[in-house]
Amino acid sequence: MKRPPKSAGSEPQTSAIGPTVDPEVWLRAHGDALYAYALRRLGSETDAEDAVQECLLAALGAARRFAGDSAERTWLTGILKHKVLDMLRARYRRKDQAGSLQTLMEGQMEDFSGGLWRERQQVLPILSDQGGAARMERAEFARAVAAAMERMPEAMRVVLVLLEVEGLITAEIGEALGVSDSQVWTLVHRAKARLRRELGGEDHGGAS
Amino acid sequence: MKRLLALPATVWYVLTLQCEEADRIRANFSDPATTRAQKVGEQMHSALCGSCRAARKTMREISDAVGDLEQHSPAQPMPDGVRERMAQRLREHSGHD
Repeated sequence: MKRPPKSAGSEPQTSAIGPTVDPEVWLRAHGDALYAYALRRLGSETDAEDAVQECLLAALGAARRFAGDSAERTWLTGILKHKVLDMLRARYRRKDQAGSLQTLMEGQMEDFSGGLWRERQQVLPILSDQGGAARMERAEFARAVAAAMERMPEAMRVVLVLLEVEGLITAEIGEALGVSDSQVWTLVHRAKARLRRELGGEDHGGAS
Repeated sequence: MKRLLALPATVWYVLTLQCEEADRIRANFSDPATTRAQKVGEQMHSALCGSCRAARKTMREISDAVGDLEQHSPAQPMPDGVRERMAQRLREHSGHD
């Protein structure tokens, strides 16, 4: 691979349209953000390190094609997103990981019986206008959700992040993890039901 | 005429939609494959079903919170050892070109 031309001196090279083409500069300027992005999605420091490194090397190869019409970090994050999905795809197609994923998706949907909710659903008290002192502010609720997600099985967390943060649809997530979109829905439903329980939304019985 | 004939099937679908299917539609709302009839069905069903309405509100709040994750939870910086190792590999890679 040929490195993009470097300008004289030690200053990072910037083209007429702006983008830097020195991966060490990218590492200094965006390393923390890229690493945090990868770590949240992969849940492993080693994998996050590998993903960021592969991203920077791929960016180096693609730097000539970077038109500078998006921010540098957005461009690098776009490359990293593909690296992360590739790593997830490889991870969940390994036999040991595929088994743990299947375990989370197997069986009937326990919340439904004959197509209807088995138990009456209620708005979480911490979100309800009638929640009083228990009502949480948005940022506080987001932190509680983040803490609850840390305690989730990894595959559940991965699927939620891909759906809600990355904006992937269930078919795309299914393709990445090597499962059907129906199984992804089961996992998403269970992940959210688990969050609902952890955040104090246990069902209290009664028909809908 | 063709549209009129198609109407009863759509109406039938909307009226008979159950909670489990409505929940599945909610998870796939942004999927281009989700039809208008499915979306209307989910909305009508949720308007009539207290449990689905409550589930929808809670799920939407959870979705928003997960979507805001990066904004509200502290990011873990790259450990120094990792940064140095990566910089070294990048230098080696560049040197071999």
